[in-house]
Amino acid sequence: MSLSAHHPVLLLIVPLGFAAICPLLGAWRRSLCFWWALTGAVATAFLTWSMIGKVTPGGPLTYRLGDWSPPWGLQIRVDVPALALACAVTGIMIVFIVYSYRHARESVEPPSRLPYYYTLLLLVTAGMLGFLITDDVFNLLVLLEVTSVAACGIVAVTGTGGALRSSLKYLFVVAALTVGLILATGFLYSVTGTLDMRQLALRVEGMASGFVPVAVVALSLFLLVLAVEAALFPASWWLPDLAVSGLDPAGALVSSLVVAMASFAIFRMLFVVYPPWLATIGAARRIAAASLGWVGVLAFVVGAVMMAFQKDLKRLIAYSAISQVGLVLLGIAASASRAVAGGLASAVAGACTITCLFLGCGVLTYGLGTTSIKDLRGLGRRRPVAAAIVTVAALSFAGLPFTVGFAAKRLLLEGLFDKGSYVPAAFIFVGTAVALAVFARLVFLLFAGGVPAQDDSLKTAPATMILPAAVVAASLVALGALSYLAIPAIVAAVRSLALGT
Amino acid sequence: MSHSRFLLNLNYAVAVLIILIGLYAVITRRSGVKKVIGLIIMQSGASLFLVAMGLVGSGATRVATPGFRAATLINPVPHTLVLICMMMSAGITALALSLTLTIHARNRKQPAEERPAAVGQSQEKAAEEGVAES
Amino acid sequence: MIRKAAVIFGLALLAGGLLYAVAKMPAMGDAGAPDKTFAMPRFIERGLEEAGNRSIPNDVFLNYRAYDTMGGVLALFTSFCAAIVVLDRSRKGRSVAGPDTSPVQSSVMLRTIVRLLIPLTIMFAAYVSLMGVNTLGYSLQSGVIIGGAIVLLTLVFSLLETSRRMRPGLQMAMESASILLFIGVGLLGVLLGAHFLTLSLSGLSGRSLQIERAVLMYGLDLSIGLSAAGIITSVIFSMMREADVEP
Repeated sequence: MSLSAHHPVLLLIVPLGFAAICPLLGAWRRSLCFWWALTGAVATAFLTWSMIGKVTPGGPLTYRLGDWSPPWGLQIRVDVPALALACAVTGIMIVFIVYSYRHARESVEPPSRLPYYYTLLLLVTAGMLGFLITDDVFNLLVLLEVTSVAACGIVAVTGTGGALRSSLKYLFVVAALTVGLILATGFLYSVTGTLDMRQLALRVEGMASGFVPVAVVALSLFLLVLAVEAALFPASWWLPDLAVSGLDPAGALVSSLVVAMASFAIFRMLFVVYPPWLATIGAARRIAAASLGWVGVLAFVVGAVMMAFQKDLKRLIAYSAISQVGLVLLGIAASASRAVAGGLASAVAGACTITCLFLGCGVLTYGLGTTSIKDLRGLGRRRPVAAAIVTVAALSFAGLPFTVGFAAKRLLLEGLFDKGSYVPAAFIFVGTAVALAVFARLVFLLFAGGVPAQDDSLKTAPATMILPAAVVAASLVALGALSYLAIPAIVAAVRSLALGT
Repeated sequence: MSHSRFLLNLNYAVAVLIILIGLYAVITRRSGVKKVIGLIIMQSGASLFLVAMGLVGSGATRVATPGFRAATLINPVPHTLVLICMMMSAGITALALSLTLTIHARNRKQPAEERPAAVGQSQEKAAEEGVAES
Repeated sequence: MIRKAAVIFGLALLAGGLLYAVAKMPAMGDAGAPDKTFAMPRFIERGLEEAGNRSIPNDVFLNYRAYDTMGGVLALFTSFCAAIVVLDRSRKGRSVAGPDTSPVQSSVMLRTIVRLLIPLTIMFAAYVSLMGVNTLGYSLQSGVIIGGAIVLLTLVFSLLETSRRMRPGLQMAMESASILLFIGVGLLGVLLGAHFLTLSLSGLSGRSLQIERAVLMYGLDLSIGLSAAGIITSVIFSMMREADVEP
C-alpha cells in the first residue's frame, strides 16, 4: 500500500510526532524549537491542503485503523466540511508560530518554557485535526479535551496572575463538560451498542420505541455541553478573560479555533449522529435544533451590543468572537442546506477574521503597554500598516463585500431565505449593523482622532509580527474570492449528509 | 414498567447523583483544591456509570479461560472507555493542581489588600475578606 | 445564598432529566440489551484468536480500539506539557533547586519502612504491568503506582535526594518516549502494508504471531505506563520546587 493511502491518519501523526520530539530538542538547543515547530506546522499544512483535490462531496476519504471496521474498531473520515476547517487550522497555525518568534520570546518568562509552548502549539494542531477527522463519538470527546487542555496551557504560558486564573477557570469548565459528554456517550451507547457516528444514526433509526427517550436525553445533553464549550451566550462567561489574558495567538486560538471545534462537534451531532432524515426522533431533533438556532440569534445580537460597551480593544475582539459563535450555530441549526454551509463557512471565516483582529491588535499596540481604546487615538497615522490590518479584519467581520466574511454571511442569508426564516435574517442585519458601527467608530478613532503625543521612543513592531498579520489580512480578501470555488462543494456535502446519501 | 426498571438501574442513578454532587462542589466551592476534589468526584461517578453499563448477568470473569461460556462474559467496551477516562482525568487533575498551587504561591507573596479574587469569586468579596483577615 | 439556591435548582432540573433517562435505559445486567448484542459477541467469541490476549478488555483496549488509547496517551502528554509550562520556574544555571529537608517530620522508623517498601512497590507495579501480556493487567495502573512510590520517596526523604535518583530530564524523556513508542508500534503496520495500528502483521502464524502480537500490544501498554509515571513524577518534583520559594 502506498504512503498516500495512509494520508488521513498522517494528519494526526505528523504534528504529534513533531510535538513529541520538540521538548527533547528544546533541552538540547532551545533556539531549535521554533524552527522545528515551524517545520512541523508547514508539513502538516502541506498534508492537509494536498487533500483538497482528493476529497469530494460524494466521496470522503475513510481509513480503518488497525484493519478493524466499526463497530469493533475505529474509523477516520475526511469529508469536505472537516477538510475546510482543517485547512483553516493548519494555515493559521503557521501564522501563530511565525508571530510567536518575537512575541513569545518577549512575553514568556522564564525562557525555558518556550520549547513547551511550541510543543503545545503542535499538540493543539494534532488535537484539532484528529478531532475533525474522527468518526467515533468517544474519540471525538477525548480529542476535544486534548485540544482544550493544550489551549489552557498555551494561555497560561505567560505566567501572569490573570492568565493563570482564567486558564484554571477554563480548565474546570472543560473538565466538568467532558464528564457531561462521557455521560451522554454512555447513555447513547447503552441503547445502541456502537460508538461509530454513522452506525449510531442507523441504530437510533431502528431503535425500540421504549429506548427513544434515552437517545433524546443524550442528544440534549450533547447539545447543552457543546454549546457551553462553544461559548454560546449566555454560556460564554469564561471566554473574555481567557482571550484577553494570554498572548495574542493564544487569544485568537481560544476565541476562534477552539470554539469552532465545539461548533463543529454540534454539526457532527446534528448531521451525522442525529441526522435530519431520522424518523424516530425527528421531532425532538427539530425542537433541539430550533432552540439552538434561536439562542444563536440571541448570542449574535447580544455579542455585538456588548462589543459597543468595551473599553479595551482585546476584550472587544473577544466579544466579537462570542457574537460570531452565535452566527455559526444559527447557521448549523437551520434546516436549509445552504444555511448550514453558511454556518460552517462562518466558522472558517470567523477563525481567520478573529485571528487577524488579535494579531493586528498586537501589532497595533506593540510597545504601547496598553490595549485600552482611548489610548489608540490617532495611532493609525503613526502605524498605518497595523491599522490597515485591523480595518480589513473589521470589514471582514462585518461582512462587507470582497471579504470571506461577506461570502459566508451571504451564503447563510441565502439559506435562511430559502426556507423562509426571515426573522433570524432580520436579526442578523441588526447585529451586523451594530458591529459595523462599533468597528467604524474604532477605525475613525484610529485615523482621525486627535493629534497623538509625539513619542519617538515608540519602537516599530518586528517584521516577524507584522508579516503574519498582514498575510492573514490579505487572505481574508483572497479567501473571499476563492470561496466561490469551495462553497458549492460544502453545500453539496451538507446536502448529502442531510439526505442520508 | 419504567418504575421497576428504575430500581433495576439503581447503579446508574447513584452514579448520576455522584456526578451531580461533584458538579455542585465544582460550582460552589471557592477553594481551588476543593474544586479539584469535586472534579475527581465527577470523574469517578462517570467511571461508575460506564462500568455499570458493562454488566452481564452476575458479572463473570473477563478472561477467556479454557472452557469459558461466552454468554456470561461482561461487556469489555465500557472498561476500555473507563481506562481512557482515567487517563484524561489524571492529566486534568495534575494540571488543575499545578495551576491552583502556582496561583496560591503567587498570592502568598503579595500583601493581603492587593490579593486578586479567588477562582470564581468576585473582586469585592475578596477585598472584604482581605480586610476581615488583617 | 440566592446563587446557591439557583445552582441547586439548576442541578435538580438536570438530575430530573438524567434520572428519567436512567429509568428508560435497558435494565442493568440484561444480556439482551442492545449494547450487549450488537458488537460485543465478536469481541468475546473471537477476541482471543483475532487479537491475541485472553483478557478481552485488554484486547479491545490495545488492539481493536487502540486509536482511542492513543487519544488517551495524547491527553496525558498534553497535560504534562501544560503542567510543566505552568510550574516551570527554573532559574539559569540551577538544574534542581530542591529543598534539602523533607516536608514531613520523619523518624528513623518511617524512613526505614519506606526504604523497605519501595522496592516491593515497584515490583508490584511491574507485576501489574506484565500480567497484562496474557491476562488482566494494565500498565496505566502500574505507572501510577510507580509515580506514587516516587511521591512517597519525595515526601519522606527530601526532593534533593530523590532527584539524585531520578533526574528531571528523565521524566521529559519518558513522556516523549511514550508518544514515540506508541506511534512507532502503530507505524509498523503502515510499513508492512496494512493500516496504522494493525498489530497482526501478515506473514506470521501460530506461535510467532502470538508472540509478535503480545509484544506489540505490550509496547502500546508500556507507553501508557511511561506517560502516567512521567506526569506524576514531574508534577510532584515541580510542586516541591515551587513550595521552596516561599519566604
